[in-house]
Amino acid sequence: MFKDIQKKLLLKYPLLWNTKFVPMVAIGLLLHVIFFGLGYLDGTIDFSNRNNIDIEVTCILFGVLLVVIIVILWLVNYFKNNSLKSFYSKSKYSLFYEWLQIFVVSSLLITFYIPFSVGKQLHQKSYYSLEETANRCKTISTAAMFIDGSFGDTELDSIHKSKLSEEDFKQIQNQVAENGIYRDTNYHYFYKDHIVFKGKKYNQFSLLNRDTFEFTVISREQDSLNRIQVQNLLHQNNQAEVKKLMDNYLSLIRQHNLATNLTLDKWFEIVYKAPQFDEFLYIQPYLREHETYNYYNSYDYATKIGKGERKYSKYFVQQDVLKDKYEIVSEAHTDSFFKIEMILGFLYGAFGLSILIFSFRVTSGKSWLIALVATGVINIVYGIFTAITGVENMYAYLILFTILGFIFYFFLIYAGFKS
Amino acid sequence: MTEFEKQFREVQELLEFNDFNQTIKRVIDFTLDTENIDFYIKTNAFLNWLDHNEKEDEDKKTRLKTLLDELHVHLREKECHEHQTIISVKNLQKVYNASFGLGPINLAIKTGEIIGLVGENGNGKTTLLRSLCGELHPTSGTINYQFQYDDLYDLRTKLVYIPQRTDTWRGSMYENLEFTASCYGYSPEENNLVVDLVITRLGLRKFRKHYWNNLSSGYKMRFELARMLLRKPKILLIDEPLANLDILAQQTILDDFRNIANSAFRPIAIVLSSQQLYEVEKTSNQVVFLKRGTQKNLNAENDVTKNCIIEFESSLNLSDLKQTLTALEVISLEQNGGTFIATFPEKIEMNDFLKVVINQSIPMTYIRNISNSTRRFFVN
Repeated sequence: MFKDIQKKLLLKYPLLWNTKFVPMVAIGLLLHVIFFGLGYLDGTIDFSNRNNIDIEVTCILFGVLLVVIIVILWLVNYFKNNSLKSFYSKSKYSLFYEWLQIFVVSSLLITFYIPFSVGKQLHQKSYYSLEETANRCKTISTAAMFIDGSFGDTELDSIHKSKLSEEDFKQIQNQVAENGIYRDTNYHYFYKDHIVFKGKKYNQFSLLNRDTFEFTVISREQDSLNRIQVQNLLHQNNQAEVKKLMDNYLSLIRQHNLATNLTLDKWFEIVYKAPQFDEFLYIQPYLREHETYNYYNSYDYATKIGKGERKYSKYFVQQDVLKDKYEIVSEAHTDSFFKIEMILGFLYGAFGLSILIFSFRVTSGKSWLIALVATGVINIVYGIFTAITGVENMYAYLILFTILGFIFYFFLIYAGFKS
Repeated sequence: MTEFEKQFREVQELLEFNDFNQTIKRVIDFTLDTENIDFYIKTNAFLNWLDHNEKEDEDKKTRLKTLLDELHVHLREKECHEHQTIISVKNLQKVYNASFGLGPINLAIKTGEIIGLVGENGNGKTTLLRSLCGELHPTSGTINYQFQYDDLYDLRTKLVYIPQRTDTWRGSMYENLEFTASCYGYSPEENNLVVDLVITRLGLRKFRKHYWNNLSSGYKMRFELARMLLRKPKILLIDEPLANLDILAQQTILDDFRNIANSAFRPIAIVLSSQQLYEVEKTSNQVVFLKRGTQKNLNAENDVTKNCIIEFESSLNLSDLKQTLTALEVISLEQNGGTFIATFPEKIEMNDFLKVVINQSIPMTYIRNISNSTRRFFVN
């Protein structure tokens, strides 16, 4: 089929034939389809974390290699004929069209990662609808308060130094707030060791002061509201609702074949210590440590014993995996398919490659090489000069003026030719 | 009688004498002259038939005759192209550095003419050709191209220069020619027909599917010519086209040049450089001899004394010959690689020399009167 098309193009549109535009666009599109498929495969999420597919790096390396080979084969065929160098008659805009065709082919070849990432994200997104994802994430997020959530900051307080006795000072030293805003040195600043929720005091290490997880599908405002909602349940001793939350969470764990030795009743029993909620057990949030790449938690705050130490009970639940997997789904929903910086980067790459090929086509290999070496030398000289003078942005100015100089020189010659 | 009628008679005679090769070439030339796709198809049909019926002379003859008659009827109505000057060169000078300079050169090139550039190596032939094709800018003087062109690039598409060492063609020969034809505006329908005709015209029919590396240098030159014919050039500049050809091929290609240049409807000018003096002189309308960059024209007025110069080969030695030739008032006698060159006063003629040779029984293997050949410029 391509032979027939090429033959027709040769007779009718010699330039299109010469650049091998049609077969190259077909190859480029095929490459995109293949990488979309590979991306889709890579986007498979194994919620149980047993058979994960991670072929991204392999695919990219393989893709780069493939593109290099395709480009070489393309150029070998493309460079067989050069009507400009053979002084064949050409239309006025022929060279521009030629560059445009090179650019399109280069863009198609270079951007193979875009369909990969789109395919990947599309597959990740397809597991649950946005609404469903948001619901499940809310369950995971709020249930963290009953597992191993970190403790929230307490309010900042201050006391005038003159009012402190030696012993008081020692006692509150641990709670000194060091960093941040400007502070009056006459005062001593510290975090309170309790929080106040709806007029009732709770210990800073109480269940009520635990944090929820953040998911991108849930806004920060909604996050705070969710936390307050659970705090309310505790504050009002609404056991039924808490149990319902726990049940939802456990059904997620069961659905994804994740491990836990908790049952609803046991869990409730060891954690729900109304009314102060500060004598609960710590549940280990993982089966194996560092099972997933993003460990979800800063363990530092996991216990009130002290920094860097942990004291978990014998109970565990694979929360890390669950959270990690839902984070992926959540991000697939909230991230845009195309990142402008990435596309811009690819376009710059394609532009560079096309200019490189085009300049080789219209000049001789010799001038091409000289240009390359000259660019290198100019850069080194300017670099050294900039380093010596130490003037900020000197390098950028020098390059800018050089380019302007060349443009001026070009128009000078052009005007000379015209006259 | 128009130029075309003259050529038509010639071809008829060729056919009478069963010179099919030559006739077919001329028929192709006429076919291309028609610029008519119907004739392209007819001639191609005949050529395809010929591929399988090489031996049937009678059939071949009748078919050629019909074709020729049809062409005659069509072309009779077509207006012949008058020869006109297309390039005039005035005081052209090109100085590379202190060591070598070309010119001043004065030259008028007309369509339908062949101009031979001769001269020793390194005397400016290639420089002149490259100046004419716009590859080198003259140091002084002007080259005036008397036809329409938009810019320097457009000009160069109309001037075809084939350097002595040509670039390698990549891909199949046929594809390259199709590409050229396509670039030069032949329609998709015409393209293959014209390419086939041109290929056959230059005797390359068997080689069309070949690749560059499988061709001998003679055939490479022919493919270059095929490509240039497709470019419908105004002028063809060729550097040493005969260099790699055997003696038969040299004559064939010069004949081809003659016919191509002299087309009644699409005449072009051909400038070629060569070391094959006598062959070139036979075919060329003008011969330009270059010596250290300066131009010497044959029969130039400033050449006051026109001595009789004879080139010959003999087994006698130099002193014996000198003695025998004193009767003819020999001015000089030089020997160069077994060949003698004798210069006599203007009044002496070739026959006088021959008389002496016969009378004195001088053994001779080769004699040539070079008084009117640029060969004499090579004599010191």
